[in-house]
Amino acid sequence: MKSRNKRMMMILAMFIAVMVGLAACSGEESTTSQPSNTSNTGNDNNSDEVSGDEQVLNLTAGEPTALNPGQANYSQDQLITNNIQEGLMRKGLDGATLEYGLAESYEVDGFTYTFKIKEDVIWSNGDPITAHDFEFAWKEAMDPRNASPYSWLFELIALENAAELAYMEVPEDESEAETNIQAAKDAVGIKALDDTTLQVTLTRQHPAFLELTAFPTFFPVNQAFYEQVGGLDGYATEADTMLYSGPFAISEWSHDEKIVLVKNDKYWDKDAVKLDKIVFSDVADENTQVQLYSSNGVDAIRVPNDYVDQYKDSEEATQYARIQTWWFVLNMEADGVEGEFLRNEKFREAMAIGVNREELVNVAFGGLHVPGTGLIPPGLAGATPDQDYRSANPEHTDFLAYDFERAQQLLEEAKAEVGQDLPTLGLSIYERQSKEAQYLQEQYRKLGVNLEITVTDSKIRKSLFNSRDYHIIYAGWFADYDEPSTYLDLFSSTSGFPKNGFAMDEYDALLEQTQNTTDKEEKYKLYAEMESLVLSNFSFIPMSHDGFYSLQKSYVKDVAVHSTGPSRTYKWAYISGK
Amino acid sequence: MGKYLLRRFAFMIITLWVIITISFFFMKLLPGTPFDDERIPEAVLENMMAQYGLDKSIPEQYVLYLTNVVQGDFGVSYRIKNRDVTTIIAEKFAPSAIIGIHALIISVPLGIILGMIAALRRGTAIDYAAVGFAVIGFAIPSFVVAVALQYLIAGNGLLPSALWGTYKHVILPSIALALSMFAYYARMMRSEMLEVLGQDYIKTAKSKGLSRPVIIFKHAFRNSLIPIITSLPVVILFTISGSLVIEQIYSIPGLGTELVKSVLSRDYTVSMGLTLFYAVMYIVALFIVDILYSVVDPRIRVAGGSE
Repeated sequence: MKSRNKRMMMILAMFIAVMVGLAACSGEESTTSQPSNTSNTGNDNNSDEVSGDEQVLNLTAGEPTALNPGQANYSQDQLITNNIQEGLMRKGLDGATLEYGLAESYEVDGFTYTFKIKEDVIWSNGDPITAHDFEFAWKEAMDPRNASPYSWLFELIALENAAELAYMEVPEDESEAETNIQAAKDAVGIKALDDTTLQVTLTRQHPAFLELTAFPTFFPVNQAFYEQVGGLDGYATEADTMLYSGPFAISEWSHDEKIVLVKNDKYWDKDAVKLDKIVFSDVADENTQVQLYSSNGVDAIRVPNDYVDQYKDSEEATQYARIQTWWFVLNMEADGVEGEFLRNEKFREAMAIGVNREELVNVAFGGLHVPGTGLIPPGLAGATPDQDYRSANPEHTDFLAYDFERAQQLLEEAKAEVGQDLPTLGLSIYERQSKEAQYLQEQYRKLGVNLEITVTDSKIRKSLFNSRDYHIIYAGWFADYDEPSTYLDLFSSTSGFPKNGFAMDEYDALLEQTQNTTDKEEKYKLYAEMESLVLSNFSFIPMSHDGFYSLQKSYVKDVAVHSTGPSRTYKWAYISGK
Repeated sequence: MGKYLLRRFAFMIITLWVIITISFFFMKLLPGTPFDDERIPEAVLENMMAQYGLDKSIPEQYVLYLTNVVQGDFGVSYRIKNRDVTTIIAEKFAPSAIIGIHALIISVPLGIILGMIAALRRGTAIDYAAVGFAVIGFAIPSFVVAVALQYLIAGNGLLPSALWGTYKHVILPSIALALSMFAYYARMMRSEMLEVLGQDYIKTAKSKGLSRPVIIFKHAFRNSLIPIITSLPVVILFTISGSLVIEQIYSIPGLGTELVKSVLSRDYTVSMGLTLFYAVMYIVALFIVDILYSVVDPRIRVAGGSE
């Protein structure tokens, strides 16, 4: 008995020792990271020693998936890249007007742009930023071995021979691949004529070209440094394996925890930068974000949908339009009786006009969204600066105008044509769409269309789209740049975007025509025609256009907000009256 | 004993291989790929798949993965460029372990003390209060506790409501994680103690005229601890390997948060790495439990243990 107890006590003692030992190690770990953030994290109750305002901004952003400009993909990647790097152009404080970034001027001759790079601009290590850095970065982003998620932008702007490089099938043999890719790179229409002259050759005019030079994929990379840190596998994976060309530089990057930006003293326009520090904490949970905002742990958040009612009247809340359209995608390639209905034009029209969008946005979105009026959301640029595309084409709304009786009648006609009863149709949604989906389900039930809702994530959705194994998907599209073609390019038969059987020769012909039209007014007329072709097909049925509320403490000033591309620029931001 | 250990070890390896195989193929059954941007052209997608070896056939991928795992290489994340899985797990383990250890230090001793007091004061108000606490503490889900603490304590500016970095950030999540364990151990200790107190040897001790403290601490207490000690390895390893809910709510960069992210984004390599990590933890814990049983309680001998 005695020896047993002794043994037991020894084991207990061992456990305690191990636990204490572990606690000691971990204690050390938490203290080493302490000095760097005591001044800026959550509890700011003791920061009253500051005279004037401490120029520190606390924000949230997810862990970037890539900060190599050519690989930046997710919104957090683009947000941070936009603030630590700079392109030829940059969007200004008003959020939209283009200003010169690293470029000093440009000339256009036909479809050829010649940019003059500023003379005195340098990287954070002191190396000059040259035209070669742009040529290298663009070609690296197009290199098919690097499989950049945004390499299609180079094809989009019609950069000469970009598609041949970006979409090349990489040969198995490495040296053969190298030769082929090098040859394709030499043919691409971007060339540094000397250190400060960059020539870009397009094959036609693209309306968004200049705007896109302010987009991360088009930012410069210093080749010597890039190769020194291991190229694609090494560049921008840590704070010290990248160089900075923008207003800020990363001083600390704790993966999945936070990223700290500090003012970049080597930035050409550093006098305009007032913030000393920006801390982006990775906070995935929306409730936690609200908690942090209300306890002054962060200075700005996007209001989660569940909190809209609580915060929308707050003085710190601003409503923004997100340039996005949500639509029902009706699968005209579905099997069975369901497919027969979905292929029936009268049925599709009944779906389009059988729902009251005014009520939808008020009941299901609490007024956050605006009723769907077309494919192209309000706010996207029109032919003239004073009128956006949507308000210039009010008649397109007629395709979607609510007419319950006519919808019922069309539905009956469709049933007669198909000769069968309408089965229940599947509706696939994201979890966050459940409120509006339930509302729509109820509306359509009144009409006589029964929908069965399934919640899927984006991965499953993608495979449903590809396999055509769905009836209706509640999907959407967010504008990549501020011009209608960001939507209208999607519906061509070659884009691969419509995964419901939509394809029209007439549409393709019109699209080609717009690409060869330089007259803006003429081009926008064609755009309107194209939009009405898609709308009157009723296989993409716009429901609403997105909007959201942002909360930002009143002491945060001059944050530039962009409706397309990277969401914010903090170059001019400052803290006042905290 | 040596033979026994060897056999156990071989069995562990086989278990791991089965787990790797099953989870590998299950993961491949999930629809979708790690790359789901609707706008990426097919040609680029194919190059992306090739970059990560996803263009190969599934049996080929399996053999490749198994070969790499044997060599200790768990691959790189598909979501975060150029981050290898081993580094991710190593980095995320620290925050999870810090919170887990704090929770254990709070909950286990307190639970044992409360359970003991309740047992010794059986039928009194203290006992009922302790039992009530144990039932409620165990029944309230940890996310409710976590959010309540955020509102009550962080809301008043006493402690940070979330994030990570200083010691202050450790306190609330540790308490939230500790509460149910505290209640669990209080209940367990109480019932064990009551059972032991009814045993013959306690009566013997009493009739021998031993003093109450000697009976309680030397005989009753030690014997009531047996089931608690044998349950500890599993609880410890699980507690320090992260809680999905608590980490999510307090925005802690730990293993739990990582697991959720990796599954949602089809980050196969990270999900597989974490699955394996948890499996190893669990198998090791069970192994320790087996040994503990044979050491702590001679009445229980594992088959072959006494050969």
